[in-house]
Amino acid sequence: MKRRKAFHPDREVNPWAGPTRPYDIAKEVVICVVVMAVLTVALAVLFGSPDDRAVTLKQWATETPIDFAATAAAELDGSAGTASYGPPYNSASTGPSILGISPAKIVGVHVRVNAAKDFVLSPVATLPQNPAATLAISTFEQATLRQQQQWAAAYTKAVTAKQVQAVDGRVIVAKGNFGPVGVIVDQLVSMAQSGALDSTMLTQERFFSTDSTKPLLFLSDGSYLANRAAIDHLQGDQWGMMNETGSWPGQAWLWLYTMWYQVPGLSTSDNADLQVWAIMMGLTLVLLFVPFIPGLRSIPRWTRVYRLIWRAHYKAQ
Amino acid sequence: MSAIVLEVLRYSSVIPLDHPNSFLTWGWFSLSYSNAIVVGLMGLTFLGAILIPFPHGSNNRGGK
Amino acid sequence: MTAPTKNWTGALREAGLRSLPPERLLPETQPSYVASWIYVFGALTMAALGIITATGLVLAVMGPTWWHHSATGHFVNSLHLWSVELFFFAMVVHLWGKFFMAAWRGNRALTWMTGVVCFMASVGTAFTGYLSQTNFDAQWIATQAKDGINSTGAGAVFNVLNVGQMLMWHITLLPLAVGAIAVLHVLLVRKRGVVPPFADDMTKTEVAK
Repeated sequence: MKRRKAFHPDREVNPWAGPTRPYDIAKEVVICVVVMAVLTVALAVLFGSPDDRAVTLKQWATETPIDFAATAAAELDGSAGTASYGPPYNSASTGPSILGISPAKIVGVHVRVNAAKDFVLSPVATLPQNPAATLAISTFEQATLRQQQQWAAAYTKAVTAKQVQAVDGRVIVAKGNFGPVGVIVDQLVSMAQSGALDSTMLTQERFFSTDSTKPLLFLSDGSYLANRAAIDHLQGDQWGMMNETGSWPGQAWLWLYTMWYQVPGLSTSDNADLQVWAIMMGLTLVLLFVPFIPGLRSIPRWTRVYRLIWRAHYKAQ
Repeated sequence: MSAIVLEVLRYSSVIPLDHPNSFLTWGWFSLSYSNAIVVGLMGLTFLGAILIPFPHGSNNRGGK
Repeated sequence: MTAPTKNWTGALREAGLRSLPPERLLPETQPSYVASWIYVFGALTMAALGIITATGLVLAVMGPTWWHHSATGHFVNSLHLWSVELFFFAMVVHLWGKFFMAAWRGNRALTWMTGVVCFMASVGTAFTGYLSQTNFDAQWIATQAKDGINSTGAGAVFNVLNVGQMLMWHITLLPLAVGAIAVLHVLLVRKRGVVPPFADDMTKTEVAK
């Protein structure tokens, strides 16, 4: 039995009853593989690929000791990026929220990082035969939290003052009430300059390590890495997500994701990370469900680009 | 001979791209030249794919 | 003659043959409208995926830092990078083509959707690849990307700063996902066939069974 119903051109088709033509899929695939292989080899020989050496803590502390010292002090007083991050590293804040909901806080702390201890105090405590370092660490650890933060904040203020200089790699700050913090930071700076901090932080006293979380977090709290990235236009506000070091093309397919970070309003929002993520998830769902979204699914029919693609077919009609 | 080839491969490119990029900037918009070339070629390839006649596209009508 | 047995294996084979008989899986003809270069870009994408896999296998066999100190390694890395650029290039052209052909028509929505999922999985795979480079680029991308991922709560199990974890995602989980979805996508294309052109007169009501 047949019945008549409305035909939806954006959803339905009539089964093809017209002519067919010979088409060799296997041959097509082989030719495609050859073409792509030739293009790949040609591009690789012509342009190569970027490989800028990884930045080390040693480099950071050697080239910009003041930035390094200021970051270390900020980990101690709680104002550095990681020290004040919140979940998944610690409970210092709630993380970005949208409509009053903070997914990071709900999921909780799962990659535990104690910035002061992991980045500063524990490494300095490993220095062998160094009574000054041992005394400074024990003085710091026996003080109240309030006292610790006062010392560290005083040092942070002193080390970020304009006239601070580094002489032979040593950071010279004006005198102040830093308690043991001045000694601790000095020790950490020279430890990093010797290269010992890189291995200490990466291995955390275990022989093997594949987890770079802590040294990367510490590195990213300073300005050294970011300044290096800015040269290559890699920063978030430089559409950096789609850029690459040198002059190679980058992840151009991230253009939409990185674009939202440039949009006024979002570019200054404290919750931008979550807001942009939400927008992108929404747009991904839109792309996924194009076949079901009235209007959107009609665009191909309205634009009539298909008349060009199938022009031979329409000409033969 | 193979040593020379390997040297070329080490610096790995005939046209070195190991220098700072240039950028198309227009207000808050910014695009590196290399990304612009990739995206431009994508557009051209799409146009080519729908405009360039496919071999035997119109004259081989199979059963008709 | 005995009646054919109907155990699970036989039923599975019959179901497979019913939905994808060999002549539909590997046909020697196509409808006459399949005549445009735009149809080639799906196969080009798959070809690039094959080259990515092959070069990635070499990098995996030799270990994550081999390419920093070996000229051959660096060249294989270049092949891997450029095949990825070509892969996305072809995939985007393919996506534009399928959009303007409204290729989801005629019960083909799932084909479109598996394609979109494959695209997203590919973006994730490429991203973890950039994180696994063990160079400055990887350091920077990891420290930047952590904020977006942490904000969703996913950072608790997907730690972009942990290079060992990201390498595992990049060379095992995500390639498996992309490969499986891509195969499903191609099988759906073969099962449903290539979408026919829009009818000349789309206002008329058609007879449907």
